[in-house]
Amino acid sequence: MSALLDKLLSHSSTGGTGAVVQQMRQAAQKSVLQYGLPTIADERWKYTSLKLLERREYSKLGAVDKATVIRSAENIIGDSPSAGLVVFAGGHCLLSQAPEWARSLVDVLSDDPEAAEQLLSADELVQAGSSDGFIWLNLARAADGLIIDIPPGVRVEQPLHIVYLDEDNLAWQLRHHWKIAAGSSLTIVEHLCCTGAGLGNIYRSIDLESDSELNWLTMQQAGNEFALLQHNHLLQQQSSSCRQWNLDLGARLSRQETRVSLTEKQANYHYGGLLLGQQRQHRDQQVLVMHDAADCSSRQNYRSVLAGHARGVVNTAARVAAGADGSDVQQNTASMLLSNTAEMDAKPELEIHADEVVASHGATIGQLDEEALFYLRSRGIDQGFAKQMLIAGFVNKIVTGISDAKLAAYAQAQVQQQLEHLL
Amino acid sequence: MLKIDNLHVEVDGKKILKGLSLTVEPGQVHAVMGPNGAGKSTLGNVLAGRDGFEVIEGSIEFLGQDLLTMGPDERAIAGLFLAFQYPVAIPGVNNAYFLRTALNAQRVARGEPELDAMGFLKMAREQAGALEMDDKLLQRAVNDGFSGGEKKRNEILQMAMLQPRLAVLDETDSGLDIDALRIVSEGVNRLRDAQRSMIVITHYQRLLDHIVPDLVHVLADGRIVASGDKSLALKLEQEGYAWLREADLSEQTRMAS
Repeated sequence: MSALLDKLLSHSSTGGTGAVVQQMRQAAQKSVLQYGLPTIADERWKYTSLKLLERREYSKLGAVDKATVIRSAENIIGDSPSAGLVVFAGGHCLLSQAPEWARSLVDVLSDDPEAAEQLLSADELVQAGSSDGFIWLNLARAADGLIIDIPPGVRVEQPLHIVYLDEDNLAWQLRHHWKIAAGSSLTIVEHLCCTGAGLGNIYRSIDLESDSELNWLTMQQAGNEFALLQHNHLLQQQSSSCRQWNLDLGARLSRQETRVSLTEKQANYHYGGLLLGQQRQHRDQQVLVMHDAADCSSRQNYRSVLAGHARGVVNTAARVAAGADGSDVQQNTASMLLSNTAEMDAKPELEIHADEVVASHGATIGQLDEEALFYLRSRGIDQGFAKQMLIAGFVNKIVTGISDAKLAAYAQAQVQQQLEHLL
Repeated sequence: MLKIDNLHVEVDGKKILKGLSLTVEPGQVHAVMGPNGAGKSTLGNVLAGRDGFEVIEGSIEFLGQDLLTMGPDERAIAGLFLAFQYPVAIPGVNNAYFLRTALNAQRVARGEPELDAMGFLKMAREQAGALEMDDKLLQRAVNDGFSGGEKKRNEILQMAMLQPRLAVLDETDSGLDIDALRIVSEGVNRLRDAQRSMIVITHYQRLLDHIVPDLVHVLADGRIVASGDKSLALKLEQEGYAWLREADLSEQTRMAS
């Protein structure tokens, strides 16, 4: 067993008292021990080393002062309109003005063990093929999480905000289950704002029933020492729609693996990702979209800007199954390197087994356009601001794609702040 | 206004300008003509301060300041404007935002108050209208997907908004049809006044039918080999540049002997 796994197993809790849940947790722990944590010998982890995390020490999870934490979170979301606020601190899920369709995992485990069993056993099936130790570690040791269960035909107008806050070197696993029933819609805005040299491991299982809609914006603005590992698994039914914007702006190390199954016809998944990196920050985004039914569409658009010694990895993959005719797949990754020491690995992948398919992928890596810089300066704009304008213009494609104008403006302001640090 | 003295410029180690001298007084319009490769665009780029154009000898004085010690943005703020031969497309940067940022950078540097978004847009729409330019182009990304004519109008729009003291028009007529040439020229002519000077770089006499210069210079092999009034442009149109080379050659022969 690796030193890191040893530390993580000894530090994280095992909530849930039901016998079945306990069995599942134990089985998951066996899988962790069997597979171990991933190493750079694993294809999907080949660019992300865990050495940094191994050297660190982590504190045990403890109690938090709910009122203080909620107040900090309210400051972060500002006056954004909201359907409710969920805060994660110290591995706990704290709900404030939460709607009835949102509960903490801990509450569900204690109040509704059968529902908890159902959720977790569904995961167990999904995960059966996975050898990624972090996924199993999450199931074995998740301290808490957010369970969303929107009934059919409910359109939630305001976004639900989720804020992650921690200042210490805590290591936690959080596990979310979000289900949006037929004909319903929801917007989720996540703010990952942990500071300190902690380690977060988040697993999200997302079920979109037919004709449902999820708009999902993640702003990862964690502090420069934080490490964040995320796995998402989306299941989309007929004519469901997911629009995801992932702004990967902070943290020393962030890695996210997203697997989308378009299981019924006319489902669509649109992804816009933005990576900003500086100093020795490391970003790794892996997205796999599986077109298992006809007439589904997927878009994966990335923009990356890396300065200093930052390293970025974007692996966009799509698999179109035999018979999934009418699939429409587009992948585009454009990256800008601001220094000689920044590094980008872009890996587009298309695997197509159907006959009638529209598919394209493209990847470019370049530098700041000197011609454009001269053009702006020749009009009286100083060099520093001209560079900022060009970078903002480059990443705008992702941010302006956010469908809600207020959210787009909010996101743009956050990105602008980060850009100022980048130069 | 502008005094260029014995300017020698290298690009990638190759000498392009070889002792160019030119003086422009306030209110004057100078046309610079010459064969391909003579160094016309180099002159525009050196004035605007583009990287890669190395001045190895000579000086440029602009409104009493040493232009060569200034960055491109400082030159613009001092009142210099280059209308690009090939305006650069900048995807993702809004044209109106770009122009307002530039205008306000210049205003602030001159100690004037910034123009707010409303005031700016009103002014920009008026100027765009005068250039028969669709004001939707203001809300597009800078020159992105613009036609050749739209790009050139966008250059003149910027010039009209920024009100420079010296404008250098680098082959602004290239790629323009007859109507667009007239509209762009009218835009330039509206900006002519006793304090503002212009250097019009062109291949063709026809632009000078619209923008009538005070002086015409012929640039060949890196320096000015002939100057005159606008009749010089007509002579070039009729006879080409060959007679200049012969004249130049005979002069060199005489000097050698």
